[in-house]
Formats: sequence, C-alpha cells, structure tokens
Amino acid sequence: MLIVGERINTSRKRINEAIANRDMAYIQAEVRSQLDSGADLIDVNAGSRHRSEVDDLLWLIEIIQETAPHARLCIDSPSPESLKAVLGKVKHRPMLNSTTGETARFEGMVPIIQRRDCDLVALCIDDRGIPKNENQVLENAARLISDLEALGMKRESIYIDPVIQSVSTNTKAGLMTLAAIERVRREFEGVNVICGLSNISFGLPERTLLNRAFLTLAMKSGLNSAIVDPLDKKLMGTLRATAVLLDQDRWCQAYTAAFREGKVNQRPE
Amino acid sequence: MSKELVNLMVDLKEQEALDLTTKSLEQGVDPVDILAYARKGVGLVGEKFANGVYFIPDLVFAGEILKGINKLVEPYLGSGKEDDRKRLGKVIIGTVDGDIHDIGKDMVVFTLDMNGYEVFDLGINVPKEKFVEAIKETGSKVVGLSGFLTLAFDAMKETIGAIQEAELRDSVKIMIGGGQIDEQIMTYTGADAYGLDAMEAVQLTKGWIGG
Repeated sequence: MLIVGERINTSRKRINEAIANRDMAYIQAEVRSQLDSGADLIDVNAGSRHRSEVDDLLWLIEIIQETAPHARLCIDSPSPESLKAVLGKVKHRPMLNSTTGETARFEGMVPIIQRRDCDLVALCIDDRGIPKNENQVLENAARLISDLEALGMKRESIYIDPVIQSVSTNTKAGLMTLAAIERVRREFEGVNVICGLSNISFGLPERTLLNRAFLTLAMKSGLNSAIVDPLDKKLMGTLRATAVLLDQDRWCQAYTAAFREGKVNQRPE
Repeated sequence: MSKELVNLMVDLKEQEALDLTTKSLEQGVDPVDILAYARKGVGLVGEKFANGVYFIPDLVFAGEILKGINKLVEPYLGSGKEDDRKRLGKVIIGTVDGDIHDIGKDMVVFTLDMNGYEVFDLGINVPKEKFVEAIKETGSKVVGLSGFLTLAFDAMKETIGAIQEAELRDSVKIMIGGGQIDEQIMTYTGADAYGLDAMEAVQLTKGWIGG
C-alpha cells in the first residue's frame, strides 16, 4: 500500500492558520510526524485559501523539502494553472492530484504531463459528472488510461480514483466502488487504484469506524494506495493488519516492526 | 390520526405510516390534511437532524416515506395539484459551473422542499446562462448557488455578474453555500447572504419571501 499523508491541507483549521502566519515550525512538524507514521508521500493542498494558492504552495514546497529532503510530494490542486506554476520547485518525482476526464481539466493537464515525469491521480469523472454506476466508472477509467497512455504515460504511473460516494445518501455506494476497484485492477493490468477514504462516511456518526471497515474491503478488492491521515493510529493499524491478511506483508515484517515501534497498539494510552 | 401520523414519521416507521395513510383515506380523512401531517413529521425529522440526533440517511429515508404517502394520497386529490397551493414560494438552486459536488446542494434542495418551497434544482456544473434563464422562466425571487471547490468562488461571482447584466439582480436575493464559504467570499462574489447548512438556507429564504 502506498500511503499519501493528507494532513497538509488548508481545509484543516490549524494548517490554514499556520500557512496564513507562515508558521514554518508547525508545518514542518506535521510533515515529519506523517513520515514517521508511515506516509510514503506528503499531500500538499492550499486550495481553500482564496487567491493565494500558488504563493502558499510555493512556500509549503520549499519548507517541506527543507525539513524532509527525501520526501516525495503529492501536489494537490484541481487547477492545472496552479500545478504548472509550482511544479518546477518540486525536487523529487511528484505525484499530481489530480486530473479528471472533464475536457477542460484534462486538456489543461496535457502540457504538464508532457513536460514532467510524474505520477498522476485521475478521477473517474467526465463531463457528465460523478459516475452513477459501476459501468460509468469503468468507462471513465478506460478513457483516462488510454488518453494518458497516448501521451506516453506508463500505466504504473496512473492512479485511478473511482470517486467514492457517501453511503449516507445511497447504501449501494460502497458496493459500487468495491466492484469498480476490482474491475479496474483486473481489466487494466499495472494501473494503480487510489482513493480518499473518508467520503464513504460523509453524513454519518463515528466516521472513522466506517472508513476503517471500508479500507479493509477496498484493499481486498485491489485498492493499492490511499490518501489518509497517517496519524490516525487505528486506521493505520487496520491497514497494516489487513496487509498481513492479504499476503502483502512478507513474514509479517512491517506489522511486527510497527508493533515494536508502538504504531499498531490498540490498547488505550 | 393527526398526531399518530406525525409521530410515525418522526420515528421513521415506514410501513406503519403507509398503513395509517391507507386506513385514513378509506375512512374519508381529507388527503390535504394527511399530507400536512406527513410534512410536519418530516419537518421534525429535520429538527432532529439539526440537533445531531438524526443523520443524512434518516433525512433521505423520511423523504422516501413522504413520497410513498404522496403516492397513496394522489388519487384522492382532485384534479390539478392541490399540493401547489401550499407552496410558499419559488427557489432556484444549483452547483455553479466547474463544480460537480452535489451532496450539500441536494440537502438544501431537500430541506427547502420539505419546508414548503417550490425548488427548481438546476443540478451540478450549471453554466451562468442557465441560472439567468431559470430566473426568467420561473420568476423565482431567491437563487442559491452551491460550490465546494475554491474554483467555485469565481464561478459564483461570474454567475452573479451575469444575473446583473441581464438586469435581474434587483429582482432576486442570492445566497451562496458550500465548503469554505465565509463573509469575505460572500463579499467577493457579490451575493446577499451565505449559509453554513441547509437550515440556514431555509431561514434566509423565509426572511426574504416569507413562509
């Protein structure tokens, strides 16, 4: 499982304040704790600070790379212009989050992909909007994959996001996503599937419980990357345990190491 | 019968509520009264939601039960929709151009509907021209613009600009809502008000066109 740490996001109040005040120490501590907890990439999202996204991203990228020179970044913006404006500052091979199959957004992304070797999150949305059923997810995935491959991108660099919808308005939403994940992985060998888990539980109480249950099911269906809060010990514990059960953790090495480091212990502290 | 139906709605007892409706209709209870009780129950479900006792699925379920009751009642209503006379006013709602988020928008549509307003839901990714057209066609006095992405702020501003250009700005009140909206964004877009949840949309609408 590839873990993208989601905490550096201006929709979180403390992060938003820290960015507004250019509080370098706070952000850098957030980055280090995510890496210590098992994040493979650090997601950087400054989208909710109106009109200052590019400046904020540039500052974030600089101070994150200063404190974690080896960390890979996932630059998170729906705007191709913003991505283009900051990409030059990213040292290691970036992940871009994200494009969709919507005509304008995809076309905006084309020159960026051509200029820089990167991983790319591709949301299964097209001009019709959010997919209404499993087949529509698959159609969108197929088109995105073939369009990206035509641009020279390798399948291994493509992270298909099936767009999880909340079970609170449609209790079939979970099954639909699980089936779609399974089919994307089977029908497009080599491609990755990623998702932001927490949408599944929108509008319900004790969301983390639903998120964890869904993570387990989604990993069984073939999810091999997730955008999560790596500081959520219960979620990360579930993830590591599930990896063992799915034979993704040889001789349980990651799991037992995480135990020794106090990372999967479930007893109250 | 009145209190019983309201209570069954509040407790989300689908089968019991439908059975009671059937029985009451057979006994000659005024179908308009039945609908009023059912709506009252849904309104109370909305209150429980606002108080954190109920959740989104409960709201959707209440809407489903109400639909079922409507179906049973319909044949007993005279020709023409008796229902319409109870509508308090018209509201246009849509997620602005470039944004496809619908959960928040749907909640606002649902809550306004439940509170007696006639809602014209334009859907998601709605071009500014469509809002202008809808105002002309429906004569609505209230427009709600929804958006979750920060990109939506510009689309909201442009939509309100288009409404102004069509010389309709003075005839409508415009409210905005979505993810990150605050006073500053409201001023930026040129809207009249913003709301943080679906009930605020109802309060704003009430303040503007009554009900």
